[in-house]
Amino acid sequence: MEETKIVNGAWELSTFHFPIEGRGLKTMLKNMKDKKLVGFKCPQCGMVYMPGPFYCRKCFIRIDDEAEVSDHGEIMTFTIGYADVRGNPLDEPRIAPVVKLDGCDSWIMGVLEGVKPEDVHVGMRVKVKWAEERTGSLQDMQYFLPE
Amino acid sequence: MEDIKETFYHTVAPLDFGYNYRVGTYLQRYIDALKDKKILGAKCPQCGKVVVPPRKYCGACNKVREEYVELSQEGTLENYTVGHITLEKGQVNQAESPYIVGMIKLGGADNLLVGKVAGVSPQEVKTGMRLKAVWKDQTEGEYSDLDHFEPV
Amino acid sequence: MRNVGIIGIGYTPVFVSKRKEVNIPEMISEAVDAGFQNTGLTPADIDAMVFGNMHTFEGVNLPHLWAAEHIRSLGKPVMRIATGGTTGMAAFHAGYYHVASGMADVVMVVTYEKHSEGDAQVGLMGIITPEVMTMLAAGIDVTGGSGMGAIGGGSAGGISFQASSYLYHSGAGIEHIDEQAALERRNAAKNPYAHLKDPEATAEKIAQTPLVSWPIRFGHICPTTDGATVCILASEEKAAKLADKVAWVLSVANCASDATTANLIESQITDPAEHLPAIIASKQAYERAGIVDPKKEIDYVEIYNGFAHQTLMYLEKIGMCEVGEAHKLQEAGELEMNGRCPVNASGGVVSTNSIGTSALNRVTEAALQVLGQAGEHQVEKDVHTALAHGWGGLMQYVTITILGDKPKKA
Repeated sequence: MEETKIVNGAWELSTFHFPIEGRGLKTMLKNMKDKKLVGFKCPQCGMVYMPGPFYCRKCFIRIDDEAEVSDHGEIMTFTIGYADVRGNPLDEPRIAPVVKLDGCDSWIMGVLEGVKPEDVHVGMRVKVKWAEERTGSLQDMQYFLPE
Repeated sequence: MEDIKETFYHTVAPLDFGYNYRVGTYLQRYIDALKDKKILGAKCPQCGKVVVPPRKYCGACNKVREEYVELSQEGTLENYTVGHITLEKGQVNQAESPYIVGMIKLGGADNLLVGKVAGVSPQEVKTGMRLKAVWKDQTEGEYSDLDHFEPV
Repeated sequence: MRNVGIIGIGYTPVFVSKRKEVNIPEMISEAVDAGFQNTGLTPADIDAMVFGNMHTFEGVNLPHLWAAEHIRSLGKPVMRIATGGTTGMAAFHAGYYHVASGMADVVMVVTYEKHSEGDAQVGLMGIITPEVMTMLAAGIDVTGGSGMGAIGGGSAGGISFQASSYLYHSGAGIEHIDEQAALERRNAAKNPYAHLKDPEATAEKIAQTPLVSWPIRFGHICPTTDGATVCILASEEKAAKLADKVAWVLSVANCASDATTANLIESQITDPAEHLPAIIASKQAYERAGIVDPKKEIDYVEIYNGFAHQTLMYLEKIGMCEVGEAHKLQEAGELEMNGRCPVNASGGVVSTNSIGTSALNRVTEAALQVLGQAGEHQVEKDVHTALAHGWGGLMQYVTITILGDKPKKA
């Protein structure tokens, strides 16, 4: 059978307006300007989340207590990127670790510099390298370095 | 929980998701015929009903419609509405002037074809009016080749 | 709950990258036709329908209404399911509930996906669009070069962490993932309804495909496929009248949990390879089916593996082998079609992936093995009991179906 014509269409998502609870993210970003990492702690079970939701994900109670976490931690898992989002090859492989910062129960993802891909491993101790100029953006926490 | 609202991000997606829909074999035949200023329907081998635009299955009979039928260019206006607004990217705008969208029973078809009705004012349009198809001068093999219907 | 059996299966004639001639309803109608032809049933025999697909991939919100005549659903109750990768099996479960509860005697489950009409990455992002937009507002670097949250990229991003963690915890190596992808593409060559077939696939050839994000290579990743699958379920009484051979549903189970991606709104507290839902759902499925020792009692498994490492990972999670044992079974040849623990003789999702159908295909392929009707890709050992697994979402939803050649005793 022959190919049939294509008609173009679109879901106009640009007309959509999403309100998203951002208290945890905004608290974290505000404190990053001062090189501090701040999450939220559940008074019942003690879990510390960063960025913090406004309810504990284990106890389902409202949590409002801020808690500072360290900018040092350990690698829980990692990947090494060789291609970008679209599959185009990167110039240099890029290590993306998922890090559990000391004092925090949730994990964050970032980029790891100063380590060769073959040397990165689970359990490796890392620390945050802060950007020189910080504006309250996710890029204030520029990358991780080995401790 | 008023304080929760303050902490909201109000984000807007800076993109649209684009799609490419295949028209499929039946609509391809229909569009090809529009280029020749013809309107085609498809007929069910069992109940004999003709549907326009053509569709593969007659759901009532569980049969594939295999016969294409050329329909008359004239028909009766069986239903209509008058539009006063237009919609673009979620914005509702006042139409330049009210426009008529009709459902027309073309000779030879058992269902109604939707089309723009022009050459008559919204005050004077009536169900039961006889209409005829009006084509673009230069047809291109697109839906827009069949431009509108107007009173005979 | 009544016993329910699979009495019919229908596939589109091919599962390929682009069906350029048909539109969506026409493509789906081919699988529905096949379902009727293979069973000799007509629309009058069908009491209800369940329809499954993921709408962001084609940008059609209600395809089951557009295709109403093409799926022969006029005048019938229709339910629509969309649960990400598990859509096909969740739709199957809904069909099962219809019959098991007594609400219907014969149900047709219809699933499809026509990826060629959309952009798969865009479709996947549709799951978390608001979160992605918020991260953009918070300054995330979309190129992934620096800063917190560096976006890994589409589905491969989150999955790379899962694969990496799996290797760490199991002791398997990237070479085992290479071999698993090759093994399943070789199996696919024997399945007329598979997409990527390669009878000559080897681990070495897969290892030559470039790395996307270690340990995921291009060769480990599923294709996007256009296709549709239909499955007909019936009560014990109807099955006796309508079918010669039946693949009986012994149990169904599913389980959901939190997202395990480093999403900055929800924050990640779970290792992506821990997969508690797979452990919970499989345990429930075994209990409900009266299975005490799955390693001995399950003869065949179909695992939903969009990425080749998932066959090995999920075999361990569902208890078909111990943690760290899956790659050893692979080395010993036991996962092959002539092995003691055959898996994905169909080629798995890594060979064919039209998302709406992919989880249903795990059930239909497991059924074909139980019925002895898998033709060239029928496994060597006798299959009396088979397990089909599906996962979806941002890795947190798992469905399990167990089939057998005899109905459950009351």
